[in-house]
Amino acid sequence: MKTRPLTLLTLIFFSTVVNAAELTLFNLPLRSVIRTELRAAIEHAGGELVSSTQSEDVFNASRIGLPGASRLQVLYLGPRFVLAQYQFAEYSQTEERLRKMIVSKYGQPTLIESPFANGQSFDAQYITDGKYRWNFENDMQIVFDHPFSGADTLSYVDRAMQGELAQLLKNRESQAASAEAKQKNDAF
Amino acid sequence: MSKWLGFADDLTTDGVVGPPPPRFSRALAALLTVILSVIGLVAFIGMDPADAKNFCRNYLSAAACLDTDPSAGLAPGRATPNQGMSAVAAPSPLHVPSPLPNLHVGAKSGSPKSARDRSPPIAAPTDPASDTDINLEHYRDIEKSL
Repeated sequence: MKTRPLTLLTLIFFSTVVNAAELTLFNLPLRSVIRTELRAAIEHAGGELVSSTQSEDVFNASRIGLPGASRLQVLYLGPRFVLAQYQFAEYSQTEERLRKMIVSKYGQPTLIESPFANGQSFDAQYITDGKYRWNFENDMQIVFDHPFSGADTLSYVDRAMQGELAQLLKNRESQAASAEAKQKNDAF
Repeated sequence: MSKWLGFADDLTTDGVVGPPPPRFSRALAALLTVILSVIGLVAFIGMDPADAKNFCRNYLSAAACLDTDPSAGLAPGRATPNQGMSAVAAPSPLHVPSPLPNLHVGAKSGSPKSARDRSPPIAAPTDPASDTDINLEHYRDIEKSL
């Protein structure tokens, strides 16, 4: 009888460790992956590079094997990974299969942002519109967005880097507007 | 449930209380200590070098933090940053340069250098906005789905 609390504590400990797993994509840890490694892994998995800029790689994802995936977009800030986002064909017949695959790998979402999702299962035949999140260690997150209109997306996000990128872009926009206002001061 | 917590196990039906309930088990305390130590150790080992550096600066002495600085020079015989854990050890361009004067300036070529002097020169401050060519509108389109 005395071993019961010990067993319970051990189970709680190991379940915590499992839930705080590292987020990977193509078996690469996204927290520390570098661009060349990730690009090579995506291409090896069947992604075709469609376009590439300083901070963004866009791949045709139709041959990667994820049901309904049409595009994979990866953003970087300098050499650091920010996010990878799969876009799926609108009204895809394979959406339910995709959700079942996600549940089999990551389990039910940690957080559901949908006003009508009362205890629904993510791998049910239909799900309500909204965002479904899975949390991982180091502030990493998976987000499945099922909007009212438009295509579904599945995003792998480094939250810290995403915040940094957003702040940087906002600052740059403010500076540009300020410079333009000085130039055209007489016009308004 | 009461038996798990060690309470009221010995309360008899006629209301006579038996021996006092067992105290908090020593074995349980030892197990908790080990678990917390392991969690702490694993968390520290798994830290990104930049996070480890901040942790050192905040909680440990400055001397203990010298080796965790990815931009610091490497001691002779140690692996270079790009061997093995290249993704983690490579200095990030987001790293804020040290406000100290650059000791490389004025150093004569061919003169003996310390381990720190042999490290790559610290990059000059750059405009952080040049790290990305993504525009705000494009980012906001993506952000809606996050």
